Amino acid sequence: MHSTKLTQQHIEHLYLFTRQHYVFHFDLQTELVDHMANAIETTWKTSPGITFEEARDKSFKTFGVFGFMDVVEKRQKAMSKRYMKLLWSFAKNWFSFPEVLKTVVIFISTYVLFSLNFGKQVAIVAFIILFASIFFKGFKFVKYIKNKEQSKEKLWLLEDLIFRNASANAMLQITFVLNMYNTIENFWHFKYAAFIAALLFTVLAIYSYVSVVVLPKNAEMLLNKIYPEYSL
Amino acid sequence: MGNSKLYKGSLTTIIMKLLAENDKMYGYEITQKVKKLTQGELNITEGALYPALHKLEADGLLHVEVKKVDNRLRKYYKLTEKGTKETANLLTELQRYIETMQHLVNPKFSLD
Repeated sequence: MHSTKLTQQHIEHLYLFTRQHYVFHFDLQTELVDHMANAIETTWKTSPGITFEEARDKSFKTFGVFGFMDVVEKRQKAMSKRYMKLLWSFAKNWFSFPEVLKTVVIFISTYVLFSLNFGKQVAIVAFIILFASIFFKGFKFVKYIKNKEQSKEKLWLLEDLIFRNASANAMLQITFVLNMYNTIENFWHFKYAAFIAALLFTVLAIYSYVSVVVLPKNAEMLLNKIYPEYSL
Repeated sequence: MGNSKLYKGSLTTIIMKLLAENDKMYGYEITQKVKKLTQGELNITEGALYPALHKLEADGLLHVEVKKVDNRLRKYYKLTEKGTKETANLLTELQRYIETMQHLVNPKFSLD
């Protein structure tokens, strides 16, 4: 007869078990480990003869045929929603006083520059500078997340989203630059081309700044706020 | 169970009602209570309960607390102020739905 309580080794084994079943983030792993641990301890109280592995598999079955997949997928969806809310909560400062003045200055100065005779060339250079600066940051973030994954350090879903989105954003904008380079010739004949380009530049600059600089810089504070277990 | 669809639509309401009565609860506790309350009528898996909890948390209806219990971390769910208001709305809505269904299933005929 064994005790009806799980040992520290059992808990560590359960963490490994969730990882083997495609749960890579510490926050969700922790919740599932506690769930399975409770289920196993309940089973042991009613049927003491059952082994740890049998009780574990019995609990795993209650998650349905897809195992943890559904929980993981929906959790990601729910956290992405929170990520977008956070992004907006920082971005909206740029549209309210006094930051809105900076937004207006960026917009007007780019509009004036893009309206010059050689405005098209200025626009190309401006977009390339913007994208190049976020590309290098994004590249650094991919390495940071990859390192954490490889060394099996605790990786939090929100942290993953913050850093991965920042780098995905950089990659996405590279394709945008290449496309722009090909289409700008025709586009620049359009009457409001400079106005649209300046508007696009302003919005993209704010979006990039918030997702690539502000959110990663505040990651620690945000993780502490969203995950009470972060500082435990 | 053939009628589990009827319950599934009310899963959120069931969870929030439980939390309104119990202050704070953890995942395993909620799953077991939901199963007990629906007396096996609702053949729902843990795979459906956690997503419902995470969605409520992302929508700001639930607040979480984490405590170390035995040798592991336990995540507790609690209704936020917004969640408490929403629970009252959901219950009123559910009550109205039940009444409508009752009229539909047991129509009372009258002569006027």
